[in-house]
Amino acid sequence: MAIKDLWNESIKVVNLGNQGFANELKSIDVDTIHLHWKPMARGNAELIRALDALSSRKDIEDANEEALRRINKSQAVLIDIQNAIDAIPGMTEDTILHAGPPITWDNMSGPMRGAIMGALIFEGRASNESEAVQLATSGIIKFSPCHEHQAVGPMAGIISPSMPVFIVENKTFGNRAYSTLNEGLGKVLRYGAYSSEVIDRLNWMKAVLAPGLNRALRFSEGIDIKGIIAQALHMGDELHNRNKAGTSLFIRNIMPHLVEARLLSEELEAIVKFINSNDHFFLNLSMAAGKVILDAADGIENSTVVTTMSRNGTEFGIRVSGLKDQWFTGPAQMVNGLLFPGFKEEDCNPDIGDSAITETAGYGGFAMAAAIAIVQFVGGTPQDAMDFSNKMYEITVGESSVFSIPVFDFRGTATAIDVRKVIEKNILPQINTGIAHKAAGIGQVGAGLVNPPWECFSKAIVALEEKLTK
Amino acid sequence: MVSKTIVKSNAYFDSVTLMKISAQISKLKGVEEVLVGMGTELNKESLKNIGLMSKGCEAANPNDLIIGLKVQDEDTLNMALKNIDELLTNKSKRKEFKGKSYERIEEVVREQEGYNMAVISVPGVYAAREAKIALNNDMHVFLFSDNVSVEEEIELKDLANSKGLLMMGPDCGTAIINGIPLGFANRIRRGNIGIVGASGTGLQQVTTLIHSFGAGISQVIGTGGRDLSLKVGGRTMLSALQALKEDENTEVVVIISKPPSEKVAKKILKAASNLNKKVVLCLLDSEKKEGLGENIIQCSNLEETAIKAATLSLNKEVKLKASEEAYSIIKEFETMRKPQQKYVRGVYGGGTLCDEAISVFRNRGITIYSNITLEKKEVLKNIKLSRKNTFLDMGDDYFTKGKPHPMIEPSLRNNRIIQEALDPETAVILLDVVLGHGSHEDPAGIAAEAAALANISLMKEGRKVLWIAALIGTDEDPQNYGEQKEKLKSAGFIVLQSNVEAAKLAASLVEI
Amino acid sequence: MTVQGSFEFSTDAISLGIYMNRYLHKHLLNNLKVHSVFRNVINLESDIGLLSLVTPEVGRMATYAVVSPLGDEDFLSVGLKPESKCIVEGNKLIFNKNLCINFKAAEEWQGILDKGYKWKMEELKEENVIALKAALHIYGEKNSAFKRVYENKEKEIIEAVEKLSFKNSKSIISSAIFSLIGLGPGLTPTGDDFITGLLSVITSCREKKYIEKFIIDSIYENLYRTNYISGNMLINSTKNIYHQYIQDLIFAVGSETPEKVMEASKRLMKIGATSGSDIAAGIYIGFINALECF
Repeated sequence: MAIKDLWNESIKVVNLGNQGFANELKSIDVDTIHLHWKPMARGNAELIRALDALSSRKDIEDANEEALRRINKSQAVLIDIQNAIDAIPGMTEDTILHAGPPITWDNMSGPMRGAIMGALIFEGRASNESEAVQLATSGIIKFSPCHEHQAVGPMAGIISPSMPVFIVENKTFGNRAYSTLNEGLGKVLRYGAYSSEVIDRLNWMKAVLAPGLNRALRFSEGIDIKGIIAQALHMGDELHNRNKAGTSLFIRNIMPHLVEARLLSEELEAIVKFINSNDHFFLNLSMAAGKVILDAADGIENSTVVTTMSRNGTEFGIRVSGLKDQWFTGPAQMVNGLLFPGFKEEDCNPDIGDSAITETAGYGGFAMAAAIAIVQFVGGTPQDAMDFSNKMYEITVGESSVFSIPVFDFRGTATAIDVRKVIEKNILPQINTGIAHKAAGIGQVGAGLVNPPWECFSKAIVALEEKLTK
Repeated sequence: MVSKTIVKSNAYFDSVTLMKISAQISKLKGVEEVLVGMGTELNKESLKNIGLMSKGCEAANPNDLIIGLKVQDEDTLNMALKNIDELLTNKSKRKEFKGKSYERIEEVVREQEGYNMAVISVPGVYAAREAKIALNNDMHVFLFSDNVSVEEEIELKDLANSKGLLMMGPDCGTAIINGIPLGFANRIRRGNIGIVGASGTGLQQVTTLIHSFGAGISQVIGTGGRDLSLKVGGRTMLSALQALKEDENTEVVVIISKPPSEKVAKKILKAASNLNKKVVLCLLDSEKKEGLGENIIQCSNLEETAIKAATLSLNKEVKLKASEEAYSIIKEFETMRKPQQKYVRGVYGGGTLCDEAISVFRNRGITIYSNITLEKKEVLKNIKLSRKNTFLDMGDDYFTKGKPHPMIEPSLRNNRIIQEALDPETAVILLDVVLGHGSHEDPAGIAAEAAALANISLMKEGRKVLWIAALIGTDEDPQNYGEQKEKLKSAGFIVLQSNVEAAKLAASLVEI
Repeated sequence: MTVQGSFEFSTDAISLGIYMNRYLHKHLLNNLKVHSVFRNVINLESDIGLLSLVTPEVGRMATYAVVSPLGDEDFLSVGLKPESKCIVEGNKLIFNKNLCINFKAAEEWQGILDKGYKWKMEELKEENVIALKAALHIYGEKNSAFKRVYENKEKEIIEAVEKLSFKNSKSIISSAIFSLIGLGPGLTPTGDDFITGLLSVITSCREKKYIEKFIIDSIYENLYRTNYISGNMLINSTKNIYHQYIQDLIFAVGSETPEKVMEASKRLMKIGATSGSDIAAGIYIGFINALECF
């Protein structure tokens, strides 16, 4: 080709920038397309350069496809319930695990501190608040993210050695994940409550609930949590903020085995009533399933897929498959939604909990279109719920082969968030979540929508560029 | 006084659209200050300067829209905000035409056929990247954006050359390809004159004069302002000359530029000699060169260039049309002229035209001052205050920081025009009024406004000023040349087609 | 009677001119019906004359309700026909099932003349009037009254204009009005617009002139020579009811600077095809004649 060839061609223009130029051309009937152009990556030149270095790379595409494949092929089966100290890798007598990225006591928010104090009292290491604080700040207690121990916890997400935990196994790849049993609603440990009522309940769960459920499990071949999630998505749940169907299906699954287990009738009664009274009982299993699925896709060289999204009430942290064990953090955001009567904006705690693992795994907020009734809690219209889910397809590698959304013609949910696409298109993953009161022990004050902060992804993309362009 | 600042996240609009909206809102009654712009550092600084910075604005990034207002009262505030809202939604509504909308060049290439020219005017920091994508997708590029680095420019031009594509720019304001005006350009008759040039308004002056002589153009290729610098080495000019050589419709070639570095000049002159076509060479502000090829005619200004080119093209002598009204206007002015009215003030929108006027004065030994001169002794110490014979380029950065260029928003030079006219030492006001694509819809009206308002004040002081306008345009331009000329005349202007002619006339009135 | 169900189109009124506001809120409007519909105007016939629903770019007036645009559609899509009935229910203006306009949140608007501004002879600056003339030269529409007088030098109009000097007798004034009303094409004929402009200067002047009464009487006598819409505009003029841009221009000439006059003139002259220019020409002649008088 040479420039002179242009002299014989018909000029057809693509215009980007000043729309006036396009208008002038159109007014003289020149075929012109004016682009709705926006700078990529929020206009940040450094990020644009990073994106360019990481685009059109077969090695990255292949690695991401592998991550998606592993996510899709993973299984999540509840096989056992044991105490944390016995089951969770790296757990010691002095370890307390928490939700979100690493954090020190000084930076923790109200709910998390309250939960830690309650855990120390539960462990018998402190008998009151001030002793608990003294112990927590003494340096003896080691705080560590649940995520770094193959575990997840909702809200404060506190796991202490004596707590019983669900053990969920990924039958395809052999890895396991752990989470506590959900205590119920209102004044509970995960919202930072540490009254005697809370401690008594935790003790009962340890003494009766956990062993009882475990005996029931012995009579089963494990409960297929992933299967329940898939079914619950067709029943109006998204398995983060709405778990009613999931909980119901779990009860249906476990009930025959509970009966088979021939528990003492008072114990059976108490266990059934307990699970039955808590619509969110399934949440912890939903989260553990997400964790066990994503852990299998972690550590794939050259992959830009997000394997963790999590908050500790102060910071939001993400981790990326190709940058194993590195946290990328930014400030946890305020959740935007509807508050229960009597509560105001000033009462709210910033975003907290490991429950964003559900979105990371391709359900939760990514499946809002399957749980349209959620708009009653988070605000917005049914169309909004569908639009949010739809948008997520722009930032993922692909779709789930198992989790589908009926109203999208049973299209698989958007799965495997690609950091590059988040930056390129300036679309942040959509999370819908509960809102905790900022003071310890009061409980949930509402629910709404939130996004991770941009910094998590911008830091990640810079690190990816550094690692993947040598 | 009521002040308000609003930040809208992730709402992107191009800067020219936003500046036009700002300009429109600033004209509303009761509006003292207004800024509608994206959250760039520059805009945030401007916001600070007018005292409207807020916390939200500090945190704003280039993808956020900032609206800052300082107005008389609440009513005006509400009205201004409503207006801004309407204008913004109109702008985004207009984008929703029938058919799919695209955000990226790659998308268009994927789904459509035959799009062969990318017209790019996005901010400089993103521009090179987009141009590269266009070139990689076999599109020619018209790159209007400036603030592109030299290294990026060289990379783009080398890429274009390797693929046989035209890379016009960066900082290229004017081109006419296959008769289609790109950027700021006029509607010119087709003919056999091919032009390559580094200056936008320079190309506009030459092409419009060529049209007025009855001749026409085959191709007009812009190279961008820095093409002939040492580092860039005239890459685009050389490719363009080759393409014109191979164009059977081009019989006369015109080269227009500021003086290049010696090395580059040699390359260009060599290429010109090898064209096997007549070449009219215009190196503005340059001495006559020796030892040029036989086919090369050197001219010293744009008017001469157009005359020579048209003459060669049509094979007959051409002449400028005289101005009918000039004589009587000058006579009337001289009868009223006061002794202290000794000087000319040039208030220009086009940099090259300003330069050219300065050259005319220099050649006659008349001392001048300017904001764009490289001569130390000619530099205006206080740009806000003119001295003796002064020529101002109102498109220079000093005047256009955070504001649209006077070609887009001519009212921005009106205050200065009036200031100059009211200076008791001013005898002549000289300005350029440029028509064509990209220009304001009524530049003559705006200039006439300035003159009319100045004349009212002058009348009170019992003084008159001689108004001279170089009206650059053709009878096919959207603004209607005839009507534009009438508007200028009704405000008392002597209207000329050629900037050189206008400058010479002005000079004749002040030289001793 | 309560109207239930949804409407094909509905929108909110943003602002109400004082007359519109007064009559809508006091439910004094009976027998409201559509007179004519344009892209951005709906004219309503009522017991008190013509009232109009307009979109924001049309500007404001005491007899207008400014409403938010109907999304991407204009008033022509609503399907209203002349004689369509319209009722006021609570805070809504209802056109059968076609259109509902909620004026609950609308603010009242008053232009500067509506608020009682009068310009004073002793404060009238010649330079402001000259600025208006310059604006007419630069921005006046080709076929407008001004150009026809000063450039084309059309006899008929020049004669009429000369007769309108403030010191002339009733019969001369009347014959000028007679020849001007209905003169020229357009929804509001050039002559009507010119008279509107001229009268606006006179009715808003603090010092009263006999010519005002002469012109007003003559307008009423000759209304039959023009159309309903333009006739209503003239009737409004006799009551000192003028469009926002006319009011702004009077204020600019009467009390502001040449720059403001230029801006206000430009805004006015953008209205209609030649309407704005014709009105501006009338205003100019009005001020020139006023200056001449004193």
